[in-house]
Amino acid sequence: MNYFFFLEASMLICLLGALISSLAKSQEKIRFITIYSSFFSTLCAFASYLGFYFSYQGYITLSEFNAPLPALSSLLYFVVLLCTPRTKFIGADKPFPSNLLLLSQTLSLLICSSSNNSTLFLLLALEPLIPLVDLIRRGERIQIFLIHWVPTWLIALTLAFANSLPMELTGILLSLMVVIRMGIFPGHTWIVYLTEKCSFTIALLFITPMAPILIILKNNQLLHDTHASIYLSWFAIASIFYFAGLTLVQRSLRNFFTYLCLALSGMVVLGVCSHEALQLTAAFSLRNSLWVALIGMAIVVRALEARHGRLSLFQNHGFYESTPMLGIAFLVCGLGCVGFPGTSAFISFEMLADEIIPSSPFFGMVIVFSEALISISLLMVYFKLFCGKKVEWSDIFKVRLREMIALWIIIFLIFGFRFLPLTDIVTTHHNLEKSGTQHPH
Amino acid sequence: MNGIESALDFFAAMTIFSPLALAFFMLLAFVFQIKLPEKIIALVVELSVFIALAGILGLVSLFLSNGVKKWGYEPFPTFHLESFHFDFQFYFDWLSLSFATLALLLCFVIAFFSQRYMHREPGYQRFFVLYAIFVSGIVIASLSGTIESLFVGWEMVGLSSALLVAFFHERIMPTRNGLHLWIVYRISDAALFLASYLLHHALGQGFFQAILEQGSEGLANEVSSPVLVGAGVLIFLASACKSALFPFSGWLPRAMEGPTPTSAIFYGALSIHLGAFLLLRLNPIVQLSPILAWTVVFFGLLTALVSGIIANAQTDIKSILAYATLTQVGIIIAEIGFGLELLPLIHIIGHASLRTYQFLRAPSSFAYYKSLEESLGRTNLNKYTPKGKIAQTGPLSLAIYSFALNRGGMDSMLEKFITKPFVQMFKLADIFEKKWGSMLAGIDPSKTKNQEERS
Repeated sequence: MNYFFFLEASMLICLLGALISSLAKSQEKIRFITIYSSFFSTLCAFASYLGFYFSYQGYITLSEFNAPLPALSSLLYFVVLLCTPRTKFIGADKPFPSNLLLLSQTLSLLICSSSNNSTLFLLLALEPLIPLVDLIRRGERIQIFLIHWVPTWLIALTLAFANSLPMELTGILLSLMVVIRMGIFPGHTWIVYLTEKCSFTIALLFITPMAPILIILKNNQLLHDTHASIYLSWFAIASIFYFAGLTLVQRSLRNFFTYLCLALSGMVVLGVCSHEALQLTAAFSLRNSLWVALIGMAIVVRALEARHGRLSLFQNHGFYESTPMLGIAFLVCGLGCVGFPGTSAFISFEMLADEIIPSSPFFGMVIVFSEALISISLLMVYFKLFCGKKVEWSDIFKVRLREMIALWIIIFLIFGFRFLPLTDIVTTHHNLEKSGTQHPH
Repeated sequence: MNGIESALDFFAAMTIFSPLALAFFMLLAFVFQIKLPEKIIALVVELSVFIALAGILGLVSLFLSNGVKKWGYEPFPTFHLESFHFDFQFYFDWLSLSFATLALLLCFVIAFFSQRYMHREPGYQRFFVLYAIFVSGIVIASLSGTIESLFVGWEMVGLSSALLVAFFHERIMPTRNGLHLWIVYRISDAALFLASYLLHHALGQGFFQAILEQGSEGLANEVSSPVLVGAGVLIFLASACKSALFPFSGWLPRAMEGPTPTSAIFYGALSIHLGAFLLLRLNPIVQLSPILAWTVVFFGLLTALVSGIIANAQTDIKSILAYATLTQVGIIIAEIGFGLELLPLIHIIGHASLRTYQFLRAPSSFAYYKSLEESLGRTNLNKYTPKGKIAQTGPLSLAIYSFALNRGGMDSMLEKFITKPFVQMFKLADIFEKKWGSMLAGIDPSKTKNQEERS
């Protein structure tokens, strides 16, 4: 039995789970089905990863980039579902989108393990349908979403099916798609709207994986040959600085999180705009580390919002004494986002800056300065949320065991991610070099 | 490897890994929300700092008895990938050994002091978690053999310092002051990061040993000496932020919001001297350009002068001590700018020890004054207290007094010309973002504004 069996099984379990949870009537049953489908899917994804690892020969990988991605993706979905409060499933005003989440997990698994360019374009076009359906279910306006996504769908379909497009046009279309999907300035407005109006769980699982990075890596040569990477890198650098600055002045916690994601996404996009294997390695490793750290931060944000509703950053809330675990997790995930020494993003960030500075000292300085801005805003928000006020303890503040387990997994990944086999930078570098030689276009 | 080399490596490992193990243990207990008894925490902290201190004293004795001048220790293999390399190495010589011995000795004293001072404090465990990170950071920074390992220690010191200033976090002022310190430290970190890149670019590596062996004359012959001068400027900026030189001095009195042991050890003794230590360590780069060296002297003396004036107008003991500390730090920086090596080191050691004592005595200064009054009598004591002469002096003295009372207006100057315009620019951008987003979503912007106001 090879590892593909488990990979397919993990996707099938999610799909079946989504179908059964759509048919189930009792909310308790839906919760049960959702969590267990995600759990068994994660087990299968890990089994496929282990199966791959033990039959590992040379540097040929599951997809040509990285074998652990489906397992990591599944794990993060499971962690998010595990710590979803029971009240979200049962007795909430708006139904929790369990089936959509399982569908999203299936799509994420497919994207992580897909090796075909056209399939990837199609999957990336399919992925936004999930937040769109959720917006419609919640009765929110979808105008802003359609303004951005109708042209992007057209682009994705063109890129997936048209074989004889001129190279320059392909480069421009691909860049446009990346700008909108990743929320690179000025194509970011819909993401801010999405995190505000959509279910936060759906939104965070849609934004944090930075899925288009895979397509940029696959088409890196094309972007380089058509000089599209130059324009893309200028947009990315503007995004990094602009969004890092905006994190400083946010008055709502959710908006702060959105701009934090956007600034960090810009950093990863800037990294993959290069043709150098070392820079690509740094950017890809950084993306994996940021994925984990951002999910961790989102879990904290969601846990706080579940207890207190939407949080404003106008005043201090002083949550530390009542929920110290959330405070610690927020700080650790924040440090993971800025590549603090000891976290998995540290070496990737150092490597990225080290590679960018020689080619463009200006870009390098902007990155370092923006990283400083982000770290300042992170500590500022930490103080606003967890300090500056004495709050009387109440039972609702208590962090549940499932939330604790989820946060421990995230903290372990932030500090120990680099030590997992195949997530190592050196292996990633070899994989990228190998894939670069095998798939120049 | 002969016996002495093995012994050197053994003592080096003791010095470096003992605080790291302490930090790991404390962090683990903290993350898993295991509430440790005060006695266990005190025992573990004292034991690990004692082991580290024993390690460094073992190294000193081996250096003295065997005539060893320098020793490199590489606990982890260097990370190399094509042109990128990350060297995590340690370098022991007279400078690093002296500073690390001082740091560990003071940390050991503070560990004893703190376990009583912080007794029954709700954040007892949190305090020692941050203490452990600080000790690890200062040991790594002082013994680092490369700019990369120095950067790791530098960041650990910065984070723990900011969180310690905000230790009493249910009040708003400590958190504001902690944030202020963090902002200055992040500027310092950014400057050091860029300096580290420039050093790599100019020399192909960031080993201190290579820089020290070449000296400023050797470095001047390098083709890339202008790049090295650029690195020197950034190193000076990093040091100026860390050592609270003019105009970054604003964070030092603010840092006194933290618990007394941390004020004593971190801002009065170690953290404040870390910038001076960095300049001393990379003095050949500073001396490469006479203009840079004189700039260092100028800012050192300016800091000493301004702080000396400000210290005279402060009304609380911790602020007086903070600015008095800064006066001496300014003089130490000027000494380094003059190219001296031994004198600044002796100055750092003597000054750090004195300030630790003074800061630790600060909370009991009233009791001390009272006992002095009881021993000498009020009339005799008045002979030694300064007389208030402000009212009798002219407008110039009043202007100087006002300048000192406003702490040189450094904070307000930085806020007015740098922070405020910067933040204002992004506030405008945020307003634009909201309007643009509402327009695209087809929502009336006034409705969004009303909703925000209500929230």
